[in-house]
Amino acid sequence: MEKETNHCTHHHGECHCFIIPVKILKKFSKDKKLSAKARKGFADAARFETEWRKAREVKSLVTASAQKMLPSGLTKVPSKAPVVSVFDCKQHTTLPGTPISNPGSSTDPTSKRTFKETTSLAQFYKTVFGRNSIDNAGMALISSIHYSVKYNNAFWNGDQMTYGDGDGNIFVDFTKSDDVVGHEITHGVTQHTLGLAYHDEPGGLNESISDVFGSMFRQWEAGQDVAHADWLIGKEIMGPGAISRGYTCLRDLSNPAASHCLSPQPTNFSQYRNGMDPHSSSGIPNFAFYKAAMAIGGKSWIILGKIWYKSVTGFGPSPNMTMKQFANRTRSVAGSLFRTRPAIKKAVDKAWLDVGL
Amino acid sequence: MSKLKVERLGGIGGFGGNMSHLRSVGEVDLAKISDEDKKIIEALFELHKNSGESLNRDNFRYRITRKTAAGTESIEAEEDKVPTVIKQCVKDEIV
Repeated sequence: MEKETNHCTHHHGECHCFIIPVKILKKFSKDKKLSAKARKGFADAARFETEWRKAREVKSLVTASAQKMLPSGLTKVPSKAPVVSVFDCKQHTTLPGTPISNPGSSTDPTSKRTFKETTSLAQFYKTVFGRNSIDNAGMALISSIHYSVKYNNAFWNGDQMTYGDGDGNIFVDFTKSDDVVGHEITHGVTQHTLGLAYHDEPGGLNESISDVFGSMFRQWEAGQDVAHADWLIGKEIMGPGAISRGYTCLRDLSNPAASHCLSPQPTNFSQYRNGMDPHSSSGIPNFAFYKAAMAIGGKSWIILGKIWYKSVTGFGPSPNMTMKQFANRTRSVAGSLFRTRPAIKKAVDKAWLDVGL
Repeated sequence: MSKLKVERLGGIGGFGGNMSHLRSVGEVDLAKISDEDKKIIEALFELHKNSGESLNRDNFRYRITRKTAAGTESIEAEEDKVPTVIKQCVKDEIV
């Protein structure tokens, strides 16, 4: 690969979009110890940062204004299925990459699968929860595939989903597990609702909400009830090197500490410590969801899913929410949504108590 | 110290977590990287105390450790803030 010297130019190759304050970028742009090309790179980066921040501020203002300007009688933007777009990064890291014109009928199976699963997830949120895309206002669902080289990850960057191909040993293509697609898109839903932080307890809740809705989406696609679901996260992205060593998933909601998980998790709040990676502490609320789902029975999204959804989306932002606060909210929502069926609230209550909350 | 120790953390797989079997570590020889990369790494250490939380979720983070006259110093930076030389020095493995 060409040696990089530019620092925020979207050329074909690595993109260096460092979130470094403009003042330091400007300082580097005048540093005579650096080459002229490097100084120009930092100067370009400073200009790009300024413009990019302006663009983001405008975007936020437009969203806020649009919601205030709805015609009388309307409480939300009229329902229209979100546009689903897929971009190809072609092993580079510039986002979003090159647009794929007809991703659903592409000869690239990753493109086809990403389009199909993203469209299906939008239908899941719409038909089960009445939600119109990530922001409940029809936000376009943008995915980038083939990100970087042998990249062992998928992520949400605040605006879009991104999927790596895996290294072919530990992991394969991250679009292969429908729950992974559901997990990433749900990070967007959480961002637009509870707005949870990404550290300590709210971070663990944030991760758990993505696992829970990712797993429910997997079950919904398969038409499975809770007894037949596998409750695994990332089963289809395990590569031969992981499978040969007995690993079948990243995480297992039904048994978070299991030895077949590549990343086993704590199962009780007594094991929680501040500073834990959110992908670890999420095991506690994940296990509570599983336990409640098994106690209630049937299909997870029909009763318990609605309780979790209302708890996530029905009360405005709460960035520093603790696990105990979320647990109490689900107890309260279970009671109000299913007033005539007290066994449901009892099941939710017991599940949280079982995990120490 | 002429070498930086690097560990890749997080991602959807939870690399480097207490109970995780996923690890990704490496080293960068400061003598072999460009002045620009050195400046960026220096800025990362300088900015660490003031870095706000981004909207990235499941992104990799990089723990970078160096030895100075004052002792060992570690920072964690998000993937989109670190130079390629840091990202490319690590090797993913199951432990």
